[in-house]
Amino acid sequence: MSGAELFFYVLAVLAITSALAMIFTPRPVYAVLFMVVNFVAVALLYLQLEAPFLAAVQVLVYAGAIMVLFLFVVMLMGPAPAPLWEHIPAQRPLALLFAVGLLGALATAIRKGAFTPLTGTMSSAIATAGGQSQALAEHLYNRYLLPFELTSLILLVGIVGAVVLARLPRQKNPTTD
Amino acid sequence: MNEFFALGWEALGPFLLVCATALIVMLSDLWMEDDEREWLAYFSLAGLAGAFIMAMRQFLLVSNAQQPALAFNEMVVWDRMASSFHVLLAGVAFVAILLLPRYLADHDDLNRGELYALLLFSVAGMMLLASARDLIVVFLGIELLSFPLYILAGFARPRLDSEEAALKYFLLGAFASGFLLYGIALIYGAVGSTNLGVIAMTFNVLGVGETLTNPLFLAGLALMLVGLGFKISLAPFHQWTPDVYQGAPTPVTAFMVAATKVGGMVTLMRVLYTAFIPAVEIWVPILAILAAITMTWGNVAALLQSNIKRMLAYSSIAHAGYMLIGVLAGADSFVLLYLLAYALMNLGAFAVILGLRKGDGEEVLELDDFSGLVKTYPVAAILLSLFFLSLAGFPPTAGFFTKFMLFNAGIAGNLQWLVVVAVLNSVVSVFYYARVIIKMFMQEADDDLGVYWSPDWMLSVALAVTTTGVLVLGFYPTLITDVLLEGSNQDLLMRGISLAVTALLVLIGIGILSLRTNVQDLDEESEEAPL
Repeated sequence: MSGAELFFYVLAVLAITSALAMIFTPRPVYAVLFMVVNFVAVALLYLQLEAPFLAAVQVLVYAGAIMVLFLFVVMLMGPAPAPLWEHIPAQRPLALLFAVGLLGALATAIRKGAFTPLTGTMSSAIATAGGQSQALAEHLYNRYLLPFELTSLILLVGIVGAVVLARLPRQKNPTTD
Repeated sequence: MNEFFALGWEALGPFLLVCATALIVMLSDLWMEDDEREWLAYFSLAGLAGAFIMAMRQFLLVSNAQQPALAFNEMVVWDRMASSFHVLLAGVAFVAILLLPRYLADHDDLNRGELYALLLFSVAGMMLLASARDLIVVFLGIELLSFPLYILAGFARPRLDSEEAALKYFLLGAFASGFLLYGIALIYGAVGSTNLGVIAMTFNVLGVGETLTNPLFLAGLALMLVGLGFKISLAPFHQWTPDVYQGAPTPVTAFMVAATKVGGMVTLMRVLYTAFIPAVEIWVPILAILAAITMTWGNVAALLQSNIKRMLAYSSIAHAGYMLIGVLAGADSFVLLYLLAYALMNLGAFAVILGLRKGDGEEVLELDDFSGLVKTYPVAAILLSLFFLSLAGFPPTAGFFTKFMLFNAGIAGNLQWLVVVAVLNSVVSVFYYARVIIKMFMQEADDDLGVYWSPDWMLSVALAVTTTGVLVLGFYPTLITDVLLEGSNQDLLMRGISLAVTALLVLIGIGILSLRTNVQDLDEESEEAPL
């Protein structure tokens, strides 16, 4: 096993275990912290894929800004561990069964499947664009302009939705007649 | 700069207009007093009418063009299917907006500008899906469709069932989006592109046989079908539907029942017809079996419901099964026609339900509340019966004609067994639709219920439009089908005028009959007064 492979496997295991830990921990603050670990591990994987710009953005935006926001919200709400409820008796074993089945199917598909190699290498594309962030920007604002703008619309809807749902139920205007 | 203008903006014209309307509505809400909010409805209606006319013009333009136009770096396509669905979506959203003010008059706490804006954003997402030609755009379109609906389902917060609906819809919807996205990723890995057109081409480059036996591709296709199946509430991914449709505010439910199906079906057709035609042997049997399960499950479960919203939710699941016949037979214009009739019938039925109120301003949702409605309010009872008969597929209504065309297409497309299942299912569906009709016509009303009929003018317009649509598609369908299916632009003005005149006559009829019942009420009151 080469050094690069070792690096990959260590990070992959770290990413998966932190994701699982995030789901299974009953404490919200721990969950947020595990998510930060997960984001950092994924950022390091980007680094290994020769995408330092993406890695930096991942750490800055997700692990930095957004997760700090999450942490604030969790702290404000009071980090009481939520009790876990079981509504349907056979739910958990069935869920485990299906999850393992899906995992097996996907693992076989990915192991046996034939990937189409992409034309051209990353480094040559970066070289022609004159830098990594330039290459990314050219794709984002030329070819993928429409998806980029659509994302902003979706985020707008998300913001509006957060305001609508978080606002207290409207008080009836006191009538003065 | 020229490149920017040459992106092909006109291909997304109606989409952009609806988005702009949504933004204007959202901003102008800031200057609105509480009692002026009705203006937001007028803004939205104006925007949607504009989008409708623009889409209609584009449809007529493109039906006579030879080549579909690609835009935005081939991520968007402008062809007949896209434009015809734009027309349908703008129309459905127009009627759905008409249903809102009457409900808001009784539910003051929901009367916020965001309601209109979110509804418009959702329609914009569906319009985008109709013209999507790239899996990334498909995914984003589905998110733009769903996000506003998650919020709208929970709009009646802090009512508990509304919160439950929003949370259920959001969690399961996010889960389904995950499946869709993972499927897209696997397909990208197998084929090397997310563009639907390029995927279809790479089949030949990589070899059709090799691609179809590539486990990566098969897993991707399966995951994508799960994700899309959730959106059109295909069994066994339909469990969220009744709870969400019951918990959401009733006009929102009407919109979801009518419009989400349109968005979901057009996505399915876009993805399957553009990219996965070589894999037709794989997805047709899978979806055919799911369609059979869907319609049977939906119809049988609808038999057991006592709440009319829940019943219509299960009926919408069953109708999704019928529509899949058309999708699998490759008959996209018949699916469009069926969706048109389906939207008209459901919006009409919901318009009647929204026009009825119980004594204390409560909604009339339990089936027992409809007993003896024909004695007190014959208009409401007759209209609701018309829409239910159409949903059940009785001649001479839109439901019969469009179902007939769809089943014909299914037989032509070698899906005979599925058509047989669908016909048997239609028979089952008669039972639960007829149950409501029997309650209205043959049972005595419970006096203490105090159900009354009080539509406002917008609801009456919605009723007139839907009634006209259901009757015209039943009695004289060529008035609409010539344009919609064959793209003929002969006598457009005449067709438009005759439709409008019919709608006006129906509106006047509804108005007069509603007035008469009001006068009767007054008479009864004055008779009782001396006693």
